[in-house]
Amino acid sequence: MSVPSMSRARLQSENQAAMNAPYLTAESLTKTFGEHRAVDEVSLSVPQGEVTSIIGPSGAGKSSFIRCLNLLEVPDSGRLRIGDDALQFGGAEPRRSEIQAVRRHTGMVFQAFNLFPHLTALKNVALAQMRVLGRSRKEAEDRAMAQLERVGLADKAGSYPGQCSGGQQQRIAIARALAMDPDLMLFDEPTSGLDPEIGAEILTVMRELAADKMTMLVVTHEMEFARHVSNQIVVMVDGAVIEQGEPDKIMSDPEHQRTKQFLSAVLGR
Amino acid sequence: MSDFSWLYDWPAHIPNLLPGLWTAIVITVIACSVGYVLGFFLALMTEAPLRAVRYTAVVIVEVGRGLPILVLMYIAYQGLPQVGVLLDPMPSAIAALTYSAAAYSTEMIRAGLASVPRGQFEAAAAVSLSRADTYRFIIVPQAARISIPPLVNLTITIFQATSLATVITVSEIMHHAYLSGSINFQYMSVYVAAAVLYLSITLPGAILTGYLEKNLGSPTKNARRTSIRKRVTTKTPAGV
Repeated sequence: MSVPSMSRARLQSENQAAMNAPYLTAESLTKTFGEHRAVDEVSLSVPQGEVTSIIGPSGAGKSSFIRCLNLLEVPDSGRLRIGDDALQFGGAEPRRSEIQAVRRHTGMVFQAFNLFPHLTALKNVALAQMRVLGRSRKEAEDRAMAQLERVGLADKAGSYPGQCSGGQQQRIAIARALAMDPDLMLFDEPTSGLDPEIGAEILTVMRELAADKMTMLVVTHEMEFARHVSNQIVVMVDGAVIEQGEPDKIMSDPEHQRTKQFLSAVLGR
Repeated sequence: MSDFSWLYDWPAHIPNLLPGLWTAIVITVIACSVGYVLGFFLALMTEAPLRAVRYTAVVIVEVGRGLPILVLMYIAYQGLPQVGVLLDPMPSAIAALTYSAAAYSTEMIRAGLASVPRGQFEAAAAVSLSRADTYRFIIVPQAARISIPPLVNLTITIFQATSLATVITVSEIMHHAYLSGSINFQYMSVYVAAAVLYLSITLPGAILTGYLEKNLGSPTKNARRTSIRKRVTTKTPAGV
């Protein structure tokens, strides 16, 4: 009797291990803008099915780093592995096909939403499905509708972005990213352009995604979210990762002096 | 000896000039539709990463805008045969006006493309749209709102410039008018009739331009365009 229970336990722990294998691994990524080293030898892993939050003061290179991950900025050097795709920077420019392969696996949500203003919410979510994934108009629009429902905006399908509030626009943007079936969602300060009240509705959607085991990397100033939703917190200062670990540990007992300073500033303690 | 009979007898000359109006419209439509496509690619070239490509575009555009259209027409009709390119009058006029339309439209199209916020390119890239699809579905439709009013205006200008083709014997409006006048000596009547034909196109065109400038897109679209632009310009991208 004890054998099956043991094997079940082992199976569980194996599942756990498989769940936590990194989906994304960045090694020594560096990005320079002119003289400024925005991203300085950053290495980090994003485990499959978990939420990783990047926090840190403004200008720490958090956004630049996350933009390197789907190659909106091409890093100057370092290595990047996303799923089965591996890229090495510093030599030849990555080929268009390599860039597209990485982007096919990642969804991105921007601070400024960047919805397509001349298209309805439904078309915003359906367009790339048709053009990139080759889905029929019917299938793309059905799935777009399902994603809009998921973010609570089915009734806005026919509206243009300009007719929606900021919070609604950001939720449409999340639906647009989800409709491409990404394996990893990147969020670049998704609530920073919004009133705190409105930001809360975005965080709710993100919590639901986390509960669905979506792999997420979130650049955020929302300390509550970072602490209670993420499995891992990464602290970036001056382009470099200075500390990373369990949210409770980082929040209550940070090791690095700079982390303490930052947290006391944002948490007001 | 004053003669004001032209005040009422000009309509009699309209039928003689109508074939010329048709010719002028054909020249305009071909020159503008081909010219604006060329202008689009020249606009892309002016933003190209390679300096040689940018300079080539700038030279093509500045020469096209710097030369009088009359000069272009003479070059096309009488100059090119010397280098072995023999064009009939009509194709010569079309070639000259196409070049002119391309050169003048480049800056209008470039301004339209430049008005689309960078975030639109990034959002398109983030959902893996190809470069061609990004322009076709995302950038050009938004740029068109800025570019179309001046392009309509340019079309009117090109239509007026078809009158110059008379010097290279294209039978457009002025060619017919001049021939009629030299037969019946009622120059004033004939030219008033020609003027009415030009105005029948250019006045509605001017009204259309004004209307488009005010009304391209709904008010809500205008509102969101400015709000998005503000948001993008006030925020430094990516913590640079």
